[in-house]
Amino acid sequence: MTMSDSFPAPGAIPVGHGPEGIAVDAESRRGYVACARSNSVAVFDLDSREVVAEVPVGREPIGLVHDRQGGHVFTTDARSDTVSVIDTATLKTVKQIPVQHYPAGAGFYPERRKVYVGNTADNTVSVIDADRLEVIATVPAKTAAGSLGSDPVRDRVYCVNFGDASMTLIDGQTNEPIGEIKLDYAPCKIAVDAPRGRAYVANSLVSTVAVVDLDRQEVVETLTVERAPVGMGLGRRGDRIYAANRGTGRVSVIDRQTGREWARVPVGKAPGDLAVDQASGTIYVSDAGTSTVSVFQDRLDDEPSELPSDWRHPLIGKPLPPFSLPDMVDGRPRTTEEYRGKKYILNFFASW
Amino acid sequence: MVNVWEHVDPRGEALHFCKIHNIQGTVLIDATGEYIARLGLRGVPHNVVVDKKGIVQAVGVTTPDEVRATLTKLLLPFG
Repeated sequence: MTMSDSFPAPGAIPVGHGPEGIAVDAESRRGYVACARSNSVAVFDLDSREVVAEVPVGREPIGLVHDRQGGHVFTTDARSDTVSVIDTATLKTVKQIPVQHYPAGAGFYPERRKVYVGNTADNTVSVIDADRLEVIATVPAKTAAGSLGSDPVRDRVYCVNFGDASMTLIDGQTNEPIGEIKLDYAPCKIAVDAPRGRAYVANSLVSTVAVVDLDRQEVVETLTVERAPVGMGLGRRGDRIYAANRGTGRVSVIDRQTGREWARVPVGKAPGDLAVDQASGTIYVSDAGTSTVSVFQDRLDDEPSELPSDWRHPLIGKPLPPFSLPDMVDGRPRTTEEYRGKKYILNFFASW
Repeated sequence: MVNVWEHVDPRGEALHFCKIHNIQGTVLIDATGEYIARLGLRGVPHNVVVDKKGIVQAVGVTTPDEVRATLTKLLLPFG
């Protein structure tokens, strides 16, 4: 192991294990990140870049939204089938709201004072009143309903269904499902640009970002990004789309107008979600593999002279470094020797 | 398959994951991530394709198109 592998990248904030959903509040200068393997939310200071509190929530918090007006942070606790509510003044969990099975995605609609939760194992969306802190509706969606985004211009909420290659449209007022948009394979995360009538959907298994026209209700363009995008965010001036590539530990910086990938910014390992400080434009990325939050600024003004190209991995053409790793079932060491003379594929994976 | 970066209870998490997704076959645990770091990989999923001589033929290959193209090449008799 090299030094650079053992330590977080400079500027990265060490947080709890397996960070996923993240939100930042430019005004109070605080960030919140759901630490899925620590069952807590790490609260950090945007300026000092230090964790100021770790707030216990339910088991495996994945989705996270911040309600500035109500002074709450909501997490979807996938293994508890609950939504935890944190009071941002006291930094205590004040309520756990029962929802349906394996809630993994969250969205907030501030204008309607509603929090939306994608119950991935039940293919439904729970709608929570952000003030009463109660479930007020359960909306049918499709297989593996997850990430959500709100659209105050059209008064709708969008839920992407990972297992169904579709997006369910929910009426912002009545909570009724009002339609569906066909998407690409494995839609995983959505970011909504309501004023421009666009949504951007990361398709993690095919390494693309779908551009959805929200008025025509169809995919109008498909952008290729690096590998396994699972986090999406929009730049503060609306000129940039960011996609966190879980497969490579880099964030793709995409020019909105041309759809071109301008840069790939190295962050921690296997990043999950990302959030943009709308005051400074700083980007915060939850690195699930490194248990850090990476911080960077996008100072690109124009298209860079050199665009990222597909480089050849230095391992190609070389012997695989030998391994001796315990077998999951009985713990006995398995080594490269066993596979001598065979063609094989090593698939690296994490449960999250 | 090699499970990496699990942070808490790697064996339990890997077993749970394989049960849910009905994954059979050999699964190894790289709990510290030391081995994947030696390969210079910084994300998941990642596939590393190895030929009969133990030489790495491809790195990455996770989208259905990439997998199809690489496997076709690897499975050719003289490939």
